[in-house]
Amino acid sequence: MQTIINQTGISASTAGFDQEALASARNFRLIMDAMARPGNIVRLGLQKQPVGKMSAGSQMVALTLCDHETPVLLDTSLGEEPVEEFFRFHCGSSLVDDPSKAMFAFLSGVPDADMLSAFSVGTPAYPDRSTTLVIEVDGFDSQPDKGLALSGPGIRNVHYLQVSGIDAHFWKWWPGNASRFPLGVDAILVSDDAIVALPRTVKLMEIA
Amino acid sequence: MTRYNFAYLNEQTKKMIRRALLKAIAIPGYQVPFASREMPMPYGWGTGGVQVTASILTADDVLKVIDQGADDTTNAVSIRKFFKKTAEVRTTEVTEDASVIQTRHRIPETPLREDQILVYQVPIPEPLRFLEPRETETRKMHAYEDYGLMHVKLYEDISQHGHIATTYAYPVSVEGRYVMDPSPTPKFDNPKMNDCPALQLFGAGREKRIYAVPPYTRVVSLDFEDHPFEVQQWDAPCELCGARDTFLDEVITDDAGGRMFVCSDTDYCSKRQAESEAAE
Repeated sequence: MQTIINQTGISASTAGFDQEALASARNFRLIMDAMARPGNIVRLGLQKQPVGKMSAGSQMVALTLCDHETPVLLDTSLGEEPVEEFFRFHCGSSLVDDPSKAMFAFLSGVPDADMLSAFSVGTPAYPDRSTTLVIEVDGFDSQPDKGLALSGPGIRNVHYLQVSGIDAHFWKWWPGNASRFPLGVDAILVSDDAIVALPRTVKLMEIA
Repeated sequence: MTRYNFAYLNEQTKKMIRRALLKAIAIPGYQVPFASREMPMPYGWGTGGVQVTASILTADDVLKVIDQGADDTTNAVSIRKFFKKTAEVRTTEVTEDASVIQTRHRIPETPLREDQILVYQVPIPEPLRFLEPRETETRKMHAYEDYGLMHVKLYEDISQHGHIATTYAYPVSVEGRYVMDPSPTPKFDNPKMNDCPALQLFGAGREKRIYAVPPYTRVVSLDFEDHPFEVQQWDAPCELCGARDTFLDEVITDDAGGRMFVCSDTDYCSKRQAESEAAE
């Protein structure tokens, strides 16, 4: 990753949005559409170079949603200088190590079970005070009758989804997360510039 | 875009509202607190809906705004103008042409599609507020799913009036968990919220709450086995278009007791009138 030092002396390791107001609006609509229709593969579309191990899609989620009010956790693999600088420079987010303090966690892969259960699931009075996971995966597909069968709010009948490059224990952990509703974490899976959102309401069935 | 940031609000405010919207969608029917801003219109004129619309609007959207079903009333006209000026989006009065519809208390008669979003202006988001004024208590009641009081209220309706007399802001249960105020829509519109292909977002500016019903979500009006939920019915059809399946407004026509009943959804009614004229 090459860091460019511009004339102002600010090292801008990558660009943010061109025309922030329009680009963030467009990105948010796509992210909201993904959250409202779980399992749908949504391409965010803008071409961006990865920053460290953070894909274009994760960058766009961060640029759209993170600011000084959102403590961010980076896993050890993502938490390298260019990514940390990206969050400090573009988002102004504080970087935290304690999963329970993070509003967003940007992860290069599925963390171990201990860490998964350490993220904030909100409280009965405020279930919205929970962590949103943004996890890098290899790719998505939506062939019928294969992989995962998703159901729940936002899904008409059943939605089929295949995710490659994700640790299988994520799917073992998910039903426990969903069963705590209204508590729970929400997840956004990212591959390149494509995202799939899994709000806590999603019920999963694995198909052989 | 010369004098305003796109869609009026500053970017940090939109980020905050957008995060609240995502949580609202992930927890259907739960009221997410948000840092509602002062808007250039008074509370009660749709500041919550306007902030939600401002945060979801893109340059490509086509916006429709309705007030009690009508596109040509003060509130609807001024909000439509507001977004024309601050976001330079295209606007329409035709339900089918709109991608975002902001509404004050009606759901259009034309069925909504998957690629449309309905934004409600909500005055009082808490369905339990008139039963329990303390926010600390209503928050616990939602947390414990303690909705007995709401059923008592509906029961008292029956014992006093012989039927459930609540006709608007009729409480619904969302996906079997949260009891939600559908905003003061007539209960006639409640069945349209169930399994709706469109995303439904609710903004309450003064009360600083955002909530949502994702597409294809179960929305059930509360009732009793022996007193099932029923919608309003009218004896006569709309006097302008002859529709028998729409929500009708009573319009006073003179000072001698003259009155007529017409569709509250002006777009739907004028479309039906145009169709019948074309057929003649």
